[in-house]
Amino acid sequence: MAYTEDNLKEDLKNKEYEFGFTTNIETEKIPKGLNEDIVKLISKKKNEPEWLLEWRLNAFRAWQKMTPPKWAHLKIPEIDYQDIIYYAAPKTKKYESWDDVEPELKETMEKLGISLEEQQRLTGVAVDFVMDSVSVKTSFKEKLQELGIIFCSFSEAVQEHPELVKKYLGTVVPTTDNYFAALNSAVFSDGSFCYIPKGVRCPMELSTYFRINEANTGQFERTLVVADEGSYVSYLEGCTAPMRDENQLHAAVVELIALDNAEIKYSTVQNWYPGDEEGKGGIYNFVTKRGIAHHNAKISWTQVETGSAITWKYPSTILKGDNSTGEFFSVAVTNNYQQADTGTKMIHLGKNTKSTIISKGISAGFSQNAYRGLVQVHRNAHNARNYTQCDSLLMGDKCGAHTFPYIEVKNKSAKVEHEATTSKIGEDQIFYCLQRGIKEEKAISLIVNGYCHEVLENLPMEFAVEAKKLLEISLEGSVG
Amino acid sequence: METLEKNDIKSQFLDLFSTEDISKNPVRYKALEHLMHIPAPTTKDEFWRYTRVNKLLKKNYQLPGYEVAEFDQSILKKLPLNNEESTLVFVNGVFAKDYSKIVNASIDLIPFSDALVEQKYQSFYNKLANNQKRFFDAVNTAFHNSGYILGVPTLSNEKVQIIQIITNDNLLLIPRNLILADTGAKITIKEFFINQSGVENALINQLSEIVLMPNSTCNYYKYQNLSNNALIDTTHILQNQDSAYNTHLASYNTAFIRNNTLVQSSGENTTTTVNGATLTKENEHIDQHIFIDHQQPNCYSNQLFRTIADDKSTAVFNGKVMVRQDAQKINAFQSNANILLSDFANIYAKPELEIYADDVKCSHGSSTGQLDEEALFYLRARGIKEKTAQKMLISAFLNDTIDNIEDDTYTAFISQEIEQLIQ
Amino acid sequence: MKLLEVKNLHAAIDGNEILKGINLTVNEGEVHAIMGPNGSGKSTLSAVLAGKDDYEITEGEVLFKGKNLFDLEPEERAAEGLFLAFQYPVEIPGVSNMNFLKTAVNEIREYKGLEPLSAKDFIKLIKEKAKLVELDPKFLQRAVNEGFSGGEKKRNEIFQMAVLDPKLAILDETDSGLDIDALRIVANGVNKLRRPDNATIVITHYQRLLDYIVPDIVHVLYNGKIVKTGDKNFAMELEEKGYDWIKESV
Repeated sequence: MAYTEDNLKEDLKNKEYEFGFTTNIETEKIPKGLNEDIVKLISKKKNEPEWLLEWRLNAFRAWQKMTPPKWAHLKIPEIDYQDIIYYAAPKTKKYESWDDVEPELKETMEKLGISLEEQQRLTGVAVDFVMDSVSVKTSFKEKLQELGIIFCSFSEAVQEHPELVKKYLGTVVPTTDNYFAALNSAVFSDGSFCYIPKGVRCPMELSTYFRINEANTGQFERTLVVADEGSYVSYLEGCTAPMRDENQLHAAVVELIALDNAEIKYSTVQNWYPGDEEGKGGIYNFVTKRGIAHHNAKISWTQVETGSAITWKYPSTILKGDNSTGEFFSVAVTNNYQQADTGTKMIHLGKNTKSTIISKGISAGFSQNAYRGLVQVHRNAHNARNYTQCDSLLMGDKCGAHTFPYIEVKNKSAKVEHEATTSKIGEDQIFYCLQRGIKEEKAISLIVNGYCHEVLENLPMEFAVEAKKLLEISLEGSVG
Repeated sequence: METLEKNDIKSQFLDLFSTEDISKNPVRYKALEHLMHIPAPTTKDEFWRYTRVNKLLKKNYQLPGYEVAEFDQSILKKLPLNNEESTLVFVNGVFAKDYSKIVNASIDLIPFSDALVEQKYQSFYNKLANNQKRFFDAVNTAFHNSGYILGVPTLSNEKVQIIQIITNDNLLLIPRNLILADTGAKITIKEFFINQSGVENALINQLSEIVLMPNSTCNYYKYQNLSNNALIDTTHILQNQDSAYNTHLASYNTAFIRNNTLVQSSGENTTTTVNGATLTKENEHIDQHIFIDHQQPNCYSNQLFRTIADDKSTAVFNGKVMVRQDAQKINAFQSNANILLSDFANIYAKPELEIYADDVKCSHGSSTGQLDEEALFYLRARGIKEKTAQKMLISAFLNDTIDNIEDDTYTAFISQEIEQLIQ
Repeated sequence: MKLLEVKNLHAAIDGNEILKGINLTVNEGEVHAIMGPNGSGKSTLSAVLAGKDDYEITEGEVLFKGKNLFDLEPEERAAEGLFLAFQYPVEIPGVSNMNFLKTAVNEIREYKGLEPLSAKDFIKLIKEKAKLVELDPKFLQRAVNEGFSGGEKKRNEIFQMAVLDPKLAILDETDSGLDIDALRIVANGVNKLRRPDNATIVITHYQRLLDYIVPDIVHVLYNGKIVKTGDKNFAMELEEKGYDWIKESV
């Protein structure tokens, strides 16, 4: 009997989530629920200045008056925001040296393939590892310090660089921007902060791994990256989460500021727990990511989204300065009962602004995968250019692939081009591979990787390898 | 019946129409009941994101009279009419018998009447209009005061001309049409919405229900040229197997147009072509909304829209293709291109695909920008003045949409009008 | 030794019978040409042999190296040494030729119980074979067949054939769309790969290719059956007289 697609499906249906393990470290928690006292408690625990507490409280008050967005092509179950613990930190807070870190934690990181030691030695990547909410280890700090680069946990930045945090926090994503951003602003526990001084080219990829560990713990990171005039930074964000039965809410906010002539490259591999093959469990990933590009600056988003039960995410760029550039490269894979509504917004305000959007969606199983993108050319954005290519691939007849582009043009010198296709994986391509002796599952992974090539090639090398592996894992058992 | 708040824009309708008359007809009355619960659309509604109707609905309107009004007959002469085709003329919504004629007695072509619907067309009437959800559908079903019924029997081939002329300012005209193409029949409809010169501030809310039986064809060519008046035109089409619906929308020189072309392909092997040319100037606002719902396998649909926006005008294209689960082997295409001629014009395009079946080929392309610089240069290099070259390119651009029209006189007429409009 | 035995093969697509009883035996060391007018079933035969599942086998059997071919999946047939040079080679965007071939080579090696080829040995193999078909090594970095001209695609097929080193190669209309120079390069490649222990089936509409790849046996396929078989001179005769006399005589 030959090995058919159905066999493959059956074999892999029960494949366990690769990174589904939990770390047994005692954590310090505060009670469930959300009110002004909890917001104050979080702020107090983090020893925050008065202005930040006020900022949080304003966000909280605004959030109370808001309602969750309903426009996305998603079925989101009712979330009980009072049933969530808004702060958890590993009890041991400070590590003097790498040796002080618990062996369990090290082991966790090893399983994730991100052993700090190895990465430090082999790749030269500085890792800011976020375990639940508090940053436990930051490396390469001294080396970066020499160049004047600040790369630290958000809490540390609040203590040590309050003037920078105060100047830029909330300037790209205001507290009241949307329901989830407001929630994040009120309760964010930690995250990363990065500042690249004028004219400095950050010599290494900066990277942060996030991980949700504590059951029933929402994670609300806040990331702020400021690239001062003429600087460059490539920032990597990778997410893996352990297997959990209960849904977990993840509402992060990322703000990027690229000042004149600066460039920020922000890459994400998102692999939160997607739920089991029946759609039970999984992370709700409701993320607000936005950057602002000043004169001649460039912001490039690359994302490989394979995880989460529900993804609601639109990394966007405001092209404020003349000659600024925005890019968005995305691969979004959904399988089983995953749902994704993801895309970008390119807001052209300045003259000669350019944006490129390449989106590759792959839907399998019973999943729903939607691209939603806005290209807006404002009245004074002379000679704005946008090119959008948006492809969807369907694997199986029980899933959905959707394309919802919004094109708004108010300047006659603009050129906006949008192309989209939806189809299934090419049977002739599969047969061609088979005829050359390549097995079907391999053929599919080859074709899918080729299909995503334009996006994957934008990832830094070490990430691209992981991303390709993830694509394969995510689509296992979905051939049809 | 519940009462409305004083400032509800729906109250005007209730003031204009006799609730007593409406309550006599159960279909109208039911729609009225629905209407009480549907708010008028706002830009918060996804389908009305780029088009506001609030101002339109706040104007004061008058109903048509019962007599055929005098009108300047030269406006009829400008139209590409064919004397050998059955023709219905309405003036301010009132059927003008003297200008109309039926060339084939075997078809039904008559002004809309609730009575005839009850006798003969009950199983088709009001089956496609969505009075529960769509505000303007409910308004039309409750209050319609004009329109026609067209029934074409099996295997016949009919060409029909419908002319709606507006001669009164502030007219509120609500035509309701019912079109039935029986098995194997072919219908070609040319529909003209025009106004007598200087007439303004009329509002037309038309709703057509088109039922295409197996293997039938309907070509519907809509000519919309209404100066300073407003038109909301909703066409529901139900396609049974092997049927074809081909439409062209020529929408220009009108203060406000919102077209809803809503196709349900509920049989296998259907063909649907929805093409349109939009040209907006000054403060005009034209919104082309298309929804093609593929419910069955082996079907083809194509949308082709070209838009020119000048001055401070706004043009909207929102074309959507939905392919339902198990509706395999669908080929669905959308092409939309827009050109802005002014820095104060607005283009909004939203070409959408919502696909639930895997063995499909669906694509869309949308481009917004200026005229092709290279083509322009090429023409100029051959000695053509820039202005002339621009006009040539604009008219070629819009004329892309008319290739499929199966009526040479009509095609030539549209082409010529476009030529004049871009002067 | 018999490499391929086709016995009374019938095949249909969507209920229409295309192959109506093919009998054909190919021995090691032989080159067969299958000629015939359009629509006679030539491409169906190659597709059925390669295992394309659009076709239904209604009768007959095929033995390849003594094994029942229809028990084997397409990739197993390939691994056993059956190679089809496609009439219309497929484009696979984003997948480089290099990656594609490396995957194919190693999958076949795995099937045979061999270790994967080291990167160094693989590159050596590739370079050597690229020369054979006068292929610019730059091709290897490009996506499979994407943006290739007709001639480049066909050359790429022969290049893949050289790398995979099959027992039986079926060249399906490999000459179509080729200019004379490309035809010569392709034919040279094929000739260099000829060995006493392998065989080739050349499927073609025209005699032209057979000037370069000289067949031992020529068959005429017409209306789903092999109606005439002869030697290489028979092909010339066909070229002169056309297919009409065949049609009339059967």
